[in-house]
Amino acid sequence: MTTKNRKRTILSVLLTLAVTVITLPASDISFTGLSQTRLALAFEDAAIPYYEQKLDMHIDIYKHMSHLFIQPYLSVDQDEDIEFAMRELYADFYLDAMDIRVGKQIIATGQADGLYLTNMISPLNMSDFLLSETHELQMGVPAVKASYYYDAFTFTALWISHFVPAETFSSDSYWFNSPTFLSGGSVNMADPETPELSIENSEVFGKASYFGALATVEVLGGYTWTDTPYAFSIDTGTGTITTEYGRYGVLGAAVSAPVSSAVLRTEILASFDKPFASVVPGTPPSVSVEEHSVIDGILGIDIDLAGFSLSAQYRGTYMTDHNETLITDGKPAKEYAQLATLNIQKSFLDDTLTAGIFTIVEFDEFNILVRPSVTYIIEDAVEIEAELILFAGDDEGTYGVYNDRSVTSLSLNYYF
Amino acid sequence: MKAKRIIGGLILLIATTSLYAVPITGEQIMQNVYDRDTGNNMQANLRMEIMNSRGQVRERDIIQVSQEDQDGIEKKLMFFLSPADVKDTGFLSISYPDDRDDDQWIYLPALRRVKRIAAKNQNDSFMGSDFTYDDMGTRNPNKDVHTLLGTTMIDGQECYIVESIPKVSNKEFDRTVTYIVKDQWYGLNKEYHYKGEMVRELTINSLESINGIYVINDMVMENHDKGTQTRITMSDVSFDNDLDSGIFTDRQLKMGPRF
Repeated sequence: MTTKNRKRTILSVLLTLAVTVITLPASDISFTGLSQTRLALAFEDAAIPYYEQKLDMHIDIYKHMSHLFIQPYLSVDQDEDIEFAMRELYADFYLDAMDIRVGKQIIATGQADGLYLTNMISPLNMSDFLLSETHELQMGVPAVKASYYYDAFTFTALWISHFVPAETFSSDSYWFNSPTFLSGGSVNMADPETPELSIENSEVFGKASYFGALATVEVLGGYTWTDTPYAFSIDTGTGTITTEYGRYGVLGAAVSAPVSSAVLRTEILASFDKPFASVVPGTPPSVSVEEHSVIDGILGIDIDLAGFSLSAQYRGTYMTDHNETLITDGKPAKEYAQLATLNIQKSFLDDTLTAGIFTIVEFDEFNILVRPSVTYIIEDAVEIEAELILFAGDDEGTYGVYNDRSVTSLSLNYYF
Repeated sequence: MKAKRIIGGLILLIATTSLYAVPITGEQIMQNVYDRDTGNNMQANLRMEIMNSRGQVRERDIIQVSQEDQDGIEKKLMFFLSPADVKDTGFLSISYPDDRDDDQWIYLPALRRVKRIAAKNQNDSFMGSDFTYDDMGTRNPNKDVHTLLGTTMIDGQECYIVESIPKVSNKEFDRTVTYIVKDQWYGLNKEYHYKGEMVRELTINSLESINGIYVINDMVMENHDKGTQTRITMSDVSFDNDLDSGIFTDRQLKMGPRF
């Protein structure tokens, strides 16, 4: 589609939405949204690698026992590329003891903050994940979700009709890194094929949860796809590595409970026979697929101390039958991996000024991401946010690799 | 036998007379305030106007449903209706009559999850206002030592003046003085003192009787220390509503303010 046609299509969709919204009875509709202007300035060369204006709209249409939610999203970046997407579009049906949600929806589960362990049903949009808000990372999936309520228990069944992969950095992104396992080799990566639409290729999950004063408990199981592709073979003639998505099962649990004036949180997720690429370096390298089970756990605490909100989390990962040839997300997979997060926030001036610092540390190749930020509410629903995004440590690490790409970011958020 | 009956009658008369003669105490007044009929449950819309020391005003619109059971456990559900950046954010809290911390959950629409939150210090500001979490709840009279200082007339109504000293000290106030309308058991004014100075003052601008229950529908809390003030007005107040049993749950938090 040409840029002109694309703009026409976007305009048509927006007009149709606007007409639909305007013609419906006002009392049944809630129309809210966010207009955000955001730019990032690189420390190294004072360049502006990121500039985006976006409009994120929420349209709620209510009836007696149902609700329609539409979340269109429009953004324009520094290259004047326009992106229009429907982040969510679903209908809710409220029955006596059951809710049913049908359509494109973001599924959020678990008790961890900013770490996606049991909260793994919706894939992540990591194309700009270092600059996006946490809540913008998850993508909608086409699904039918049924929740049955019995006393303090909820039983949820979820069917995702077709697989949606995670979005990763494009090769022209400021954050793009070449996969390290290919260094020195004259090979190229082929784009993976998305599994065709069929019942067999759909995803299913089941969840049971308990909501009580003593604790909140969630138990989750499912059969899913790897959100990111892995290499599975190489054409030695052309040097092209083909990639694919693979299937595996998961079983997990999440618990949060108050202890004195703190809240303790924990999550555990077992991934069974998850496929990983096994790459033996050479010219050309040899590529195959191995299945390994992975155990992932998180322990966290939230507490308010002297007006400061503190949240700390530790995450540990273990892969069974590990060997040195395994690759995950373009880097060598580890047998054991550990990281920790710390988030501290405090409000001032009658809650109009909030200062915070978020830190994430990987211990194995010690590297760190530090994000101090200040948000000031100019008036109700209008705020300005300044943030530093700083990277340091071993450049083999997830964040250390951006050592020379620290930025400062400024955004103006206008809610309506 | 007749003499015994006469003596018994006299004892009863003296005892009864003595009972009526005993003046009411500060403890009894505050217990009466605490025990005042507030219905089985209440639903109301709140408008909070927070004015800073420069006179700038921020507004919050909230819908609130609360219910207290026979054991004194209070469940409260609140949703922000405005401003837009916090719209549909929900809070669920369970408060206990004893010293247990409140159980609290928050629903943030952006995260699409119900999250348990650490219990707030009861003296922390409620939503950036001049009210504290303690002010927004019903303080158990057992937490203070109460003394009746006397009576006075306010707006033509006779009021008890009760001084309350917290049993557990805090940095927000070391003494309060409350003006309670005699035989009605609601407060018209409350002063918060710390180290000999009045730091905050609650003034009731108006109240109304709904189904025989007195409701404060306009009140202002002034913070003399910071020069700020917060006004809360209530509308669409109703009591003893036919609430769904599942309203104080995570399901309702996710559904939003549609009861």
